[in-house]
Amino acid sequence: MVNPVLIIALPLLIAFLMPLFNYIHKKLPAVVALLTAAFNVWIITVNFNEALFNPMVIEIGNWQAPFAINLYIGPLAILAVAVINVIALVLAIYNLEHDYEINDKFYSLFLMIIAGTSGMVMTGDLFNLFVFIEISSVAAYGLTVFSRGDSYEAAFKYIIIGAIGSVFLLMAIGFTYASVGSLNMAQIANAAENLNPQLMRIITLLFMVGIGIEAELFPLNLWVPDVYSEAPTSVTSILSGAVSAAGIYSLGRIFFTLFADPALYTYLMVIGIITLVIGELVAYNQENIKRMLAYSSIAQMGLIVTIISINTSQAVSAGLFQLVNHSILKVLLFISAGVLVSAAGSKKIKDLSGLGSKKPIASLGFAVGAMGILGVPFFNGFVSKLMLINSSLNAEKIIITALILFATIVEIGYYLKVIQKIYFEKRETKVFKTANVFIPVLVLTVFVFALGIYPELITTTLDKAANELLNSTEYITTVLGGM
Amino acid sequence: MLTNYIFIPIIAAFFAYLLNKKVKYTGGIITSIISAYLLYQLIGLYGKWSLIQTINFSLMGNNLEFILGNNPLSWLFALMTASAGLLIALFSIKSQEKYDLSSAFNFNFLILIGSIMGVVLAGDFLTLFIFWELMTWTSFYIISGGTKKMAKKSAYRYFILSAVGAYTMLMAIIIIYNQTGSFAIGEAAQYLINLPTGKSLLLMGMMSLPFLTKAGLFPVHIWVKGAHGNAPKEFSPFLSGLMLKVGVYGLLLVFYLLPFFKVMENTISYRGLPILSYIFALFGAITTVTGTILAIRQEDMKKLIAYSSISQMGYILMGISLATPLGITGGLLHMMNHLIFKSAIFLTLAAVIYRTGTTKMYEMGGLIFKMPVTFATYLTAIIALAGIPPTNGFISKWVIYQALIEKGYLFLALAAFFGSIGSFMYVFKPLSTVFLGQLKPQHEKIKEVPFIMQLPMYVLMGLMVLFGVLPGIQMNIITKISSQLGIESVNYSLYTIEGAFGSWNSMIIFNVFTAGFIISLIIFMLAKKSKLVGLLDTYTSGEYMNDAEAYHYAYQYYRPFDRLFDNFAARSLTRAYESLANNLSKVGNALRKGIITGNGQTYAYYTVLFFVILAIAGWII
Repeated sequence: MVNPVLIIALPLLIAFLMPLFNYIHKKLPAVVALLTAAFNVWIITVNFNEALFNPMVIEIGNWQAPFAINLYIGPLAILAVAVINVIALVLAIYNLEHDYEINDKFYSLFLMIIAGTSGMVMTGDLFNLFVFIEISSVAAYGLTVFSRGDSYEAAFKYIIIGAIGSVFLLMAIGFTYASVGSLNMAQIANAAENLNPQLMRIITLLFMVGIGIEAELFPLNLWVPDVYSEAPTSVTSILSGAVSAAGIYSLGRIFFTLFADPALYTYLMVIGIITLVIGELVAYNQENIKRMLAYSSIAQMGLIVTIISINTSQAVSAGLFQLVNHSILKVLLFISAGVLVSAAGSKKIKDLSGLGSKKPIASLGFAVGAMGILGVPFFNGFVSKLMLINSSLNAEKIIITALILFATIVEIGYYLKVIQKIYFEKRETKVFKTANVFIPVLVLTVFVFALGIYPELITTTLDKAANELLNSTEYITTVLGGM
Repeated sequence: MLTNYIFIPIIAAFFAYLLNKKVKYTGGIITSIISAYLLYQLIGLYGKWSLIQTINFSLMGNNLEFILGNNPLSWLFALMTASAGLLIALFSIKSQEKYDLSSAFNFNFLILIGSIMGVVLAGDFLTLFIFWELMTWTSFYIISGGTKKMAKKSAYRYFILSAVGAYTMLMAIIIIYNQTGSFAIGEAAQYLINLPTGKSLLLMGMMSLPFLTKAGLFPVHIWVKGAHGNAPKEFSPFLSGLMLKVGVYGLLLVFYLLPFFKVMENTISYRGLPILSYIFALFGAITTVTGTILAIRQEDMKKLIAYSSISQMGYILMGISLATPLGITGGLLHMMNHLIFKSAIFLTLAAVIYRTGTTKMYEMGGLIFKMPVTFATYLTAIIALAGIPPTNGFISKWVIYQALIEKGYLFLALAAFFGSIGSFMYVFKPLSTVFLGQLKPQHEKIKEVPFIMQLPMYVLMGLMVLFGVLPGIQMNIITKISSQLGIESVNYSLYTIEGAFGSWNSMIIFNVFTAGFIISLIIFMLAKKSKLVGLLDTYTSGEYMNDAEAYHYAYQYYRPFDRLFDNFAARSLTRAYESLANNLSKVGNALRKGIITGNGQTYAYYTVLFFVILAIAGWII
C-alpha cells in the first residue's frame, strides 16, 4: 500500500525541481509533469478499494489525531482526488502538444495546482485546508497570465476577489479556533453542537464567502468569465475541472460534516438556484465561446450546490455524480473549444462556422461534451440529470425542479447554436494548424459513454461518499478513535 | 427479441456512416436493407400480443426495469415506421448523390428509426423518454442538414419546442415514479385513477404536452412549416408521414392507456362528451381550419404541404378525442392513410426538386410532359387527400364525418367539411402550377426520375388504391387496437364498413368505377384519332406568342380567397413565441450589463455586500 501523502508531496517536490529539469533538456518538464500525474493516478488506483471500505487516516509526522494534521481519505476524498488527478493526467497529455508559450514555470505551477487541490479534498484539518486553498489559488493566478494580453486584467480581478476571500476564511478559522480550541475537523464536528448558534451562523457565513469564491457561487463568481476566457486552454480546463470541483468538495465538508445547520441549506439552495438561472441567461447572449462555456460552468456549479443542499442521501449522490460528470465534460468542452479557437484564429462563435469537416476530432469532442451536459440519453449527463431531478422531486421541491428544467432549456438554446454553426455551415476563411488532441478527446469520450451506459461503475462510490457527508459521526469516530 | 428492433439500426448506423464516407451510395443501401429486415421481422411478430421483454438495471439504489412490449398499437406503429423508412431509404439512394451530408443523414436516420421503435415498443415511461430524446436529437441533426438558408433556425425552433414538452413530461413521470416506485405504464395508470381528479388531470396534461407538440397541433404547431419546408427533401416525407404520427401514438397512450379520458368523465360533460375531451377535439378543429387557411396562401410547395399535414392531424385528433368506436376507427384509419398519401405527395415533390432544383411553384410549370410517373402519383395522392373514392382517403374521412355527425357536433363537423373543401383547393394549386400549364424553357431538358426513385411511388400508388378497395385489411389491425384501448370496434368485412347511418361497400363502388372506366376507354378507342394541337394555339386562338411562360397562372393563385383571411393570417403565433424568446434574451443582457460590469473593484464590493446581506438576513429570520 502506497502512502497517499505522496499524492500531495510528490508534485510539490517535483514542482520546485522543474528549473533543474529544464536545464537538462527543454522538453523534459512536460514529460516529467506527465509522469508525475500518471504516478498520482497509479497511487489512487492502488488505494481506491481500501479507501472505499475502510477510510484511511494518515497522521502526518506520526503525531496523534487532534494535535497534529491528519489526512482523511474516505470515499468522498478518494473519488474527488481520482477525478482531479485523472483530469490532470489528460491535461498533461494535452500539454505535450500545444500552441502557446509554455515553459518550465508553467509545469511547476501546474503541479502545484494538482498538489493544492488534492490536498484540499484529502485534508482533515481546517488550517491545512486554508493553506491548500492558498496554494491552488496562487498557482491559478500565475497560470492565468501565461497567455498575455487581457489575461493580466483577468488575473488581477481574480487576485482581488481571492484575497478578500482569504480574509474571510481566516476570520472564520479564527473564530472557530477561538470557540472550539482545535483546528482538527473531526474535533470541530464533535464540538459543533455545543457552539452558540449565533456564532455558528456567523462562522458558516464567513466560510460561505471564503469557499464560495472557489466554488463559484453568485455573486462571488464574477471573476470566472474573465479568467476562463483569457487563460490558456489547459489552465481553464484544470480550473473548471479540478479547482472548482475541489471548492465544492470543501464546501460539502464544511457544511455537512462540520457545521450542519438546516437553515444554512436554505441559503445554499437559494444562492445555488440564483447562480444557475443567472449563469444560463447570461450565457445565452455570449458571442465569445470561451466566455459562454465559463458562464455554463458557473451555472452547473450553481446546479450542483442547489442539489446538494437538499440534504437527502439521494440528492447528495446525484449532486456528486453531476460534479464528476461536469468535470469530465467541461474539460472535454474546453479542450475542443481551444482547438477550434486556434483553428479559426478568433474566439467569436460566428467565426467558428464550418469547422466540423476541417477539424473533425475537436468538433466531435465539442459535440459529445455539449450533448453530455444537455443530458442526451446514453451519455453520462443524462443519468446524473435524471438522478438529480428524481431527488429534487422526491424532496417535494417542485419550483426548484421547474427552474432547473427551465435552465436546461436555455442551455440547450445556446449549445445547439454552436453545434449547428460548427457542423452545418460552410467555411470560407482560412483554417490554422492546431495541436493534435486525439488522445485526450478519446479518453474523455470513453469516460462519457462508460458512465452513461453503465453508471453502476460509480454508483457504489457515490453512495458511500454521500453517506460520509451526511453522517458525520462515522468521520469523527474514525479520526478520533473513539475518544 | 424486441431489443433487436432498437439496437440493430443503431449499430448499423455507425457502419452506414463509415461506409458512406468511402462510397456514395452505400449509406442508403444499408438503410434500405435494415428497414426491409425490420419489416420482415415485424410481419412475423403479428399476433404475439403478449410478448414482453424486461431488462433490469440498478440505479439510485432502486431497481429500474426497462420494459418493452408488443401490443397491437405498438405493432402498427413499428410496421409503419419500418415501411416508411424502407421507401424513403430506397428513394434516397439516388436522390442524395449530390448531397454533402449524406453520410450523416443515413447515420442519423438509422438511429432515428431505432429510436422510434424504442418509443413505440416501450412499456414503461423511462424507456419511452430515453428514446423520445434520441428521436428528437437525431431528427434535429437531419433537419439542420437541409440545404435551405432557414434550415438551421427551423431545426432549432423544432428542438426547443420539443424540449419544453419533453421536460414537462419528465417532471410528471418522475413525480409518478416517486409515488409508485415504478415507471411502468400499467402502474402509472393504476395510480392516476386513484388520485383526486384535479391532480390527476394536471399530471396527464403535462404528459400529453410533448405528444401534442410532436403531432403539430394547435397551439404548438409553429415548428411544422419551417421544419418540413427546410428539411432535406427526402426527409420531409418521413417527418410528415411518420414523425407527426408518433405524437399521435403518445396521445393515444395518454388518452386511453392512461386513464386520461376516464378521469375526464368525472368532469362536466357537453353533449355526451366530457368537456376536456371536447376541448381536445376543438383544438383538432382549430388546427384543421388554421392549417387549411394558411396552406392556401403558400408559394413554396413544401411549406404548403406542411400546412396540409397540420390540418390532417387536426382530423386525426378530432377522431381520437371522440372516444366512440367510429371516432377511434376514423382517427386510426386516417392516420394510416395519411402516412401513405402524404409520403407519396412529398416524394413527388422531392422528385421535382431533384430535377428542377427549386421549390417555388411559380418557377415551374408543364412538368406533366416530362415527368409523367411523378404526375400520376401526385394526382392519385391528391385524390386520396381530398377524399374521393376509390382511394383510401375517402374511407377514413367518411368514417370521421360519421363519427362527428352521429354525436351531433355541428361546429366540429363544419370545421371538418371546411378542411375538406379547402384541402382540394390547396392540393390543386401545385398540380396546376407545377405539372400543368406552360413548360419553362430552362426545364426543356429534364427527364423522369430514375427507376429506384419511381419504385416507392408505384408502391404507394398501389397501396392507396388497394386500401381504398379493400379496407378490411386495415380494419383487422384497427379493431385489435380499439379493443386494446377499451373501445368497442366497428363492424366490417373485407370490403365493407358499417357506419352510423348505413354501410359502405367499396366493392360496389370499385366495380362501378371500373365499369365506367372501361366504357369510356372503349368510346375513346372507337372514336377518331385525335389531332395533337399545341397548347398555345387553343389558348391564343391562333395568335402568335413567344413567351408563353409569362402567361402561366401561378403566383398568388388564390388571391381573392386569401384576402378574406388576411387579418387572420397576420396574427402570427410564431411571432408571439419569438417575442417571448427575445424578452428572455433581453433579461440575460440586462443582467450582464447591470451586474457583470467588468470592474474588479465592483466584484470585491459584491463579495463584502453578499456577506452583509446574508448576515442581516440571518439576524432577522
